[in-house]
Amino acid sequence: MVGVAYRGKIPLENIEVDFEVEPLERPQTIGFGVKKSIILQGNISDSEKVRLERAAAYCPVGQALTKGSIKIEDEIRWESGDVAVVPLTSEIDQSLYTRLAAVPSGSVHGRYLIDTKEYNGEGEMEHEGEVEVYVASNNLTRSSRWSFLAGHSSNGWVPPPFPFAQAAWTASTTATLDTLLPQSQATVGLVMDPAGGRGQSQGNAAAGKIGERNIRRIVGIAGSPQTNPVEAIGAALQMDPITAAYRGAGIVLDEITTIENI
Amino acid sequence: MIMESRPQPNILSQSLGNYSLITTIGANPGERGPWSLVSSIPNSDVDMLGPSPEYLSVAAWAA
Repeated sequence: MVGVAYRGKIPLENIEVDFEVEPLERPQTIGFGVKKSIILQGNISDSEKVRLERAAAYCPVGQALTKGSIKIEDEIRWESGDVAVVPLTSEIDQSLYTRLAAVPSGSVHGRYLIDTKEYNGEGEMEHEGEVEVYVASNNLTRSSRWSFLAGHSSNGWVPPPFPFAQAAWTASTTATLDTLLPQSQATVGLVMDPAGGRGQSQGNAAAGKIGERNIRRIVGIAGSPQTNPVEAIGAALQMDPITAAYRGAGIVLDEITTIENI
Repeated sequence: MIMESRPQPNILSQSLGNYSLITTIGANPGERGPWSLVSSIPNSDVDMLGPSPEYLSVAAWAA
């Protein structure tokens, strides 16, 4: 959003974003939904607000979670050396959903670190800077909190948001396979096609255009197709909540954008 | 056995004990990174070392 504002000469001074995460019933939903709230600070007109809202909706991570921009190809590599591409299956045992851990309620707060913007010698912005993200969630033992840094910086100290999101997807996939097929000893990897870079992503976000990405998800599995059949693995992959979100299952419960003139 | 000619993943995730996972971004030599993230599966036995993967996804969205 910072890049889109800069390119569009929108006087965006600061951004804060809040997500309330709510547990939901499976299998009617992916197991959770979010209420999104964005606060934009700056002398921003109504038309500029519309452009920034569109940029927020069409950022690469938002597109992946809400607009089906990720085209998934699943490949299984068994310990035995067998390899298979996983087809979508229509037969899923609905009772398996009860074995997936319930998503706890909690919140995610993102705070833009405005001083981390970087400019070149001509005064043009080169890197949008970093975001501090606070996560708080309940657990069945006690509630917990974590903080992360992500964004775009020349030193590369922090992961960019899109790879960060795909790391979360691989973690989700691994957790789902561990839960449903504990004997599979799954490892999950992603091979992402090169993208057009931040300039293209920001152009897509500004225009409200979906930028499709092909990602091959490679699942390493113990044993052989006889001990861990492709059908069971395929069903588990489809039941993964982030995979379901990527395939358009829906994640947003509510969203609001507020402007604070400063 | 993975053959060398096959594409190697640049993001990798695997289990770390009973309820946690370790994920590495930029896993191959020469790539930006690596950055490692720990996440956990909600449970009633032990405290979570990291947020659940669903929360990591939302954290990435917030960024």
